[in-house]
Amino acid sequence: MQNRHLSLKYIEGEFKMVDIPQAEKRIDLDKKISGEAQFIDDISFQGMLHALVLRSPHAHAEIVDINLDQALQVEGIEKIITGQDIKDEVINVDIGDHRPLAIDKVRFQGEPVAVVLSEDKWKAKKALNLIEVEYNPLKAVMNAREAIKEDRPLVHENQDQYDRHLNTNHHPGTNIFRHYKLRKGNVDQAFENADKIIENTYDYPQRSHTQMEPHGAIAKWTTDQEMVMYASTQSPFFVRTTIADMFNISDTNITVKAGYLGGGFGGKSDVSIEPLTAFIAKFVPNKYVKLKLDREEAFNASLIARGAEVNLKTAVTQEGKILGEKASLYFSSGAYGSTSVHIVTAAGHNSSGPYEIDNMEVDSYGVYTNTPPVGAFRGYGHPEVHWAKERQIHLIAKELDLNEHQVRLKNMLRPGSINALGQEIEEENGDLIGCYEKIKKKLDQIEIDKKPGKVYGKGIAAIMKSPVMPTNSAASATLRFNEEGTVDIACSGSEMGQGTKTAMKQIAAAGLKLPLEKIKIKEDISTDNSPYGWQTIGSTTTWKAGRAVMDAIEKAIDKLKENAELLLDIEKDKLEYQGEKIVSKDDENIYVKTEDICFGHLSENGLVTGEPVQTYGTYMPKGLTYTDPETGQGNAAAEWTFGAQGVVIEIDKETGELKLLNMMMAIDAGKVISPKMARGQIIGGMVQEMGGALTEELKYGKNGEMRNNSFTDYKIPTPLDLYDADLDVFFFETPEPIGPFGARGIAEHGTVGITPAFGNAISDALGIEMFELPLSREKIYLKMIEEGDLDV
Amino acid sequence: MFSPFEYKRPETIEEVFELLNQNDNSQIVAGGTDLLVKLREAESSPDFLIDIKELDELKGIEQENNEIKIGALTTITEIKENKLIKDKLYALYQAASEFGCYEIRNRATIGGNVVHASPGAEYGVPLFALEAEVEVVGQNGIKRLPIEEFWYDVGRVKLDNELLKSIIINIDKNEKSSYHRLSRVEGMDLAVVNTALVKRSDNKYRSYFGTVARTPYQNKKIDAILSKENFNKKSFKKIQDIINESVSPRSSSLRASPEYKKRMVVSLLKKCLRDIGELGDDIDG
Amino acid sequence: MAKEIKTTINNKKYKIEVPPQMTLLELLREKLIMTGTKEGCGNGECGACTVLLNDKPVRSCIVLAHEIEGKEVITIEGLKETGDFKEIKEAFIAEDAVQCGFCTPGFVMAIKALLNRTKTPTDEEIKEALGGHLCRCTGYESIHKAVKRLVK
Ligand SMILES: Cc1cc2nc3c(=O)[nH]c(=O)nc-3n(C[C@H](O)[C@H](O)[C@H](O)COP(=O)(O)OP(=O)(O)OC[C@H]3O[C@@H](n4cnc5c(N)ncnc54)[C@H](O)[C@@H]3O)c2cc1C
Ligand code: FES
Ligand code: FES
Repeated sequence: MQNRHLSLKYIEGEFKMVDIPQAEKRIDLDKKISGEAQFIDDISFQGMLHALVLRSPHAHAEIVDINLDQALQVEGIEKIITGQDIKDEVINVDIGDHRPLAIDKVRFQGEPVAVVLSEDKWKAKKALNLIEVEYNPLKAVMNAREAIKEDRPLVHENQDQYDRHLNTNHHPGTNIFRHYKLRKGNVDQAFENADKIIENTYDYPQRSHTQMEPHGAIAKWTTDQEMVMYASTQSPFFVRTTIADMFNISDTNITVKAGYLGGGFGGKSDVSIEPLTAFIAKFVPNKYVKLKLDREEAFNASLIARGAEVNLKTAVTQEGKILGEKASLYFSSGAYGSTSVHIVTAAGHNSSGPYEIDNMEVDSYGVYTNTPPVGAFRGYGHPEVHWAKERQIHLIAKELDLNEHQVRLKNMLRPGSINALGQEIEEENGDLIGCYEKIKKKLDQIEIDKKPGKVYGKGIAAIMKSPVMPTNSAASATLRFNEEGTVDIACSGSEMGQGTKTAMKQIAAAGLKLPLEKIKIKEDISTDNSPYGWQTIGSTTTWKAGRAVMDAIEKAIDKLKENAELLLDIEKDKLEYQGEKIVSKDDENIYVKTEDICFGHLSENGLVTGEPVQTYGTYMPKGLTYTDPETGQGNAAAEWTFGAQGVVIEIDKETGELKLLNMMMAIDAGKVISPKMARGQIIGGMVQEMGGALTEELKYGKNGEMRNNSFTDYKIPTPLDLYDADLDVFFFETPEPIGPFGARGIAEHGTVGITPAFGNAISDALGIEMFELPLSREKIYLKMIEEGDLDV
Repeated sequence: MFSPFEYKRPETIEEVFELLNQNDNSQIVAGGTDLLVKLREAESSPDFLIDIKELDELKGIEQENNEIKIGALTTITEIKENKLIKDKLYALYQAASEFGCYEIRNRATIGGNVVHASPGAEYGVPLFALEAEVEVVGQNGIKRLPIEEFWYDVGRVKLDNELLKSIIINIDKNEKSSYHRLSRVEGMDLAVVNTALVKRSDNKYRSYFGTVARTPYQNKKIDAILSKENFNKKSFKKIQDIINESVSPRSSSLRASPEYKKRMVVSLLKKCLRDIGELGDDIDG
Repeated sequence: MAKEIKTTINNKKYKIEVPPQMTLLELLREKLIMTGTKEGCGNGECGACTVLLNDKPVRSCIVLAHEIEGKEVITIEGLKETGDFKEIKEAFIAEDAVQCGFCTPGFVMAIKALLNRTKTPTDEEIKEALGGHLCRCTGYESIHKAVKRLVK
């Protein structure tokens, strides 16, 4: 069995588990409360052009003709750009299936067809309304189920011809652009041996991230080879590479700057509007061009989320032991595939849920559909499969007349178990069973104050999550001691509300054994001079960037000791770094102050001993490999995080209105860097996913047009849905060897098991079983009167 | 972003009519919470916006003899905070409490709500149930007509270069009233369905249901059942049957299916009855 | 045609040329470069653009700039000088009620308006003040705690 820690070296010695100093507040808080923090749309430049985009009204259509004659008559229009202006620019993140503007056909409603540039946005709008486009509408396919049928239209006629960065196992001549296969053990045998086979299909519709800040980017080409961009992106370096590729120029010619993001959640990772912004700006050299989406466009013209149908066939014994499972996962991935290739994979890796299943057959398909492209969203494939898996466990228990906790505990992964990828689970992966028992106990303890006309239910789910990323997704950091003894640190990772930079400051203070005030973390990122970071996704920043910071610290301390050695004439190995000073191990009265040597030591006669301490730290996940294309087995995930979640709900029998009373999570975080921020991440994730559980769903009309692209009819949780609810977060701390001070990623995990917890709670309350999200008031009510235990 | 238009804020009603006569493609704006949202995405917009917020004649809540008169420009917040309304026309207070959110209520007017005439408007069912009348002012003076005549279709009211001046409700006729709505989330949302119930001084009931038809829907048979004493489980079964047979809500609604809407108006009716004190918490009535 | 309006913003008097179709939000952000007020939807649905107009909170994305003629506007930029701001800020810090911070100015304005109405709001009043504000990051718990801390 592969050992995932094979070549991992944990920073030993100086950095044992320590208490992490707690910041009084996030470093960005003052600015954000007073409205001074700058977001992308707060930036503008003299003479900047506004870009307004004409978008396809059709989900699937040929473009027959575009007539710009009238639009070009509008005074003050700088330029109008259409797909005809594209030469060979392709947006190729993983699959080269995407152009910055539609050329001869549109594949989703909202796809860019033309862009008007003007200094005056009202003039641009006038021109936009005068552009005439003739379309020949085609039949659209709106979900994977339709898109895999025999006689379906093809979203991409020639997907064979696309360039691919990796083997996606696509099915030529179909809409399937990605097929991840997992084969483990002998499934047929397991099914033969089973006492019962339980099969269900679970639906998780497409959603929207709805970051409160819509996407935006500003670009300017300074020469025809060089561009600078400001963007609301989680992935400045990734944007840089993608744009450089698109124009076939060197990465170094492109500068991408990112400041604060008004929420990301995955929807501002990879690329979304940045390639289009770069493309249109190229037509007006030396001018800044701003493209900012309005709310409607943020819904239907950036990235959307989720969209999966999961079929599980589970072979079980009478006692509830899972012998084997066949899973088919169909992702409605939208019109372009790159941004969801790895979601399909991650879901495949995790469809077992946190259970040991010896015999597995998983087929996870990414399928083209005529919707906006699906991209990463907090949880990344895991909420989709947990919705299925944790409902399935509940239903297995019900079917076998067993207690669902016993069924879970019987099958749960524990040290020594082999997971779906063939990796061995170890103690250090975290205390799954402890987390689960904690939630179970907490739920049992809650006494409900029951009201007439209402029914009550409790639901639970166990979770597992692993990041999926390229095997070479690096992070890095720079560290610089200033003359006065303060430290400037820059590291990869965009600040989008998760508190990354504050956590890094704490990690640095702990590692350097210096007070927090002495450390300054640089917040803005510029690809010109900030340390490289692949993307800020996958809940990986704290441990990856954190490890890079630790690496830089380790090197800095070494350097400091070298300076001290020169000055004290004591061998480096005989010196101990204590933060403010470096002390002789033999005699604690012999020491130098760090601030006296951090820039080299300047003696009275002007002579300098040593060198300024400035270091660069990096982190590269170790030992990751691609999975085997036929079996899906391999060392694909660098860490696993386990936990459990629960909800308590009240349902109004007359209306189906569901009220949240309690929501909770226990998670093995490895090491909590900041309890307050960690709690905020978990709660934020749980509430976001509660939207997916109860109300959120993108709805399309007959012709594939998105019908609820505004907050009027796309309902996300509001303050009042939470005001009276009690929320709990319990942290377990089993150190993760590869994380800084043992920390694991936790930013997405709050989302993973919330939907099944709600589904199971509804089952508990009413005896009805739900298979399709969202669990709207309407669905609950109609199902309740159709087949519930109630006499309504 | 709005397409360009001209803007005027006249101080007298006469000025409004002058402006209306001078400009073919003009629009009245009160709180703007419907109109501006509509203009934002529209490809074209009126050439002229006439902001009537300064017209004092259209403001205020007053009682004259047995009538309460609510000026068209009265904001929802003003309705919610008015003691007279809370005491005498409880359904209108309840509707104000459910309406949008605090900031919207500070701007939205009852007149705009009525003129916009959307099927689930907060002030549809309660005003219909209360047999409200509207005062309309035109160049030839003021006329008064029942609300169900004024508000005759989705988004359609009887106004012809005229302004809605006020809404008038007889408080002697209406003894008790209640309003309930169902939404999708607890915070700001529009009504998925809504129901208003009035118990009149002659002990007769009037009930209206919203979003199940093009305008607030009343069924005399239901009111007859309600007006008979002693309703029980069977009465609601009957009411449900009547609803099922008589309305067919739009199946393309994003907010709810016809089936759910039909059920919910009856559920909300039960809540209204409970408010009025005619039904205990026992779900079956 | 742009016309001049006279108005008071953050206690400072302004005479500004404003095209009629410009919203108050556009005036603040694009003309006066007061970018603390945010646009999350442009439709009155999210609350990020909340400002005080004659002391009442309104959604500046659906108020025309011309409507503030002769009136007083307070934005987040103008709040800093007021007494309650310090307490609101401290409460937000204590409860870590900010993540991405995009919704924050809108919430702060709504809370300030609430405190202008009453220093001892009930749960119902707090709910009324916050009910129409959306935050996608915090899950609201920390914001609710911050408000409760303020009124304690
Ligand atoms: C975020 C948000 C939430 C909302 N929530 C709700 C809700 O919960 N319930 C609900 O019912 N509505 C809701 N609305 C819709 C809207 O707020 C109401 O319909 C409101 O009452 C409209 O009033 P107004 O003064 O803003 O109208 P305006 O937008 O100013 O006008 C609406 C229409 O009426 C005309 N008009 C206005 N006043 C007069 C008059 N006196 N004479 C002649 N014509 C006139 C205008 O020309 C226009 O056509 C919401 C809107 C928003 C943006
Ligand atoms: S931007 Fe005004 S309410 Fe959202
Ligand atoms: S903190 Fe990000 S939206 Fe509220």
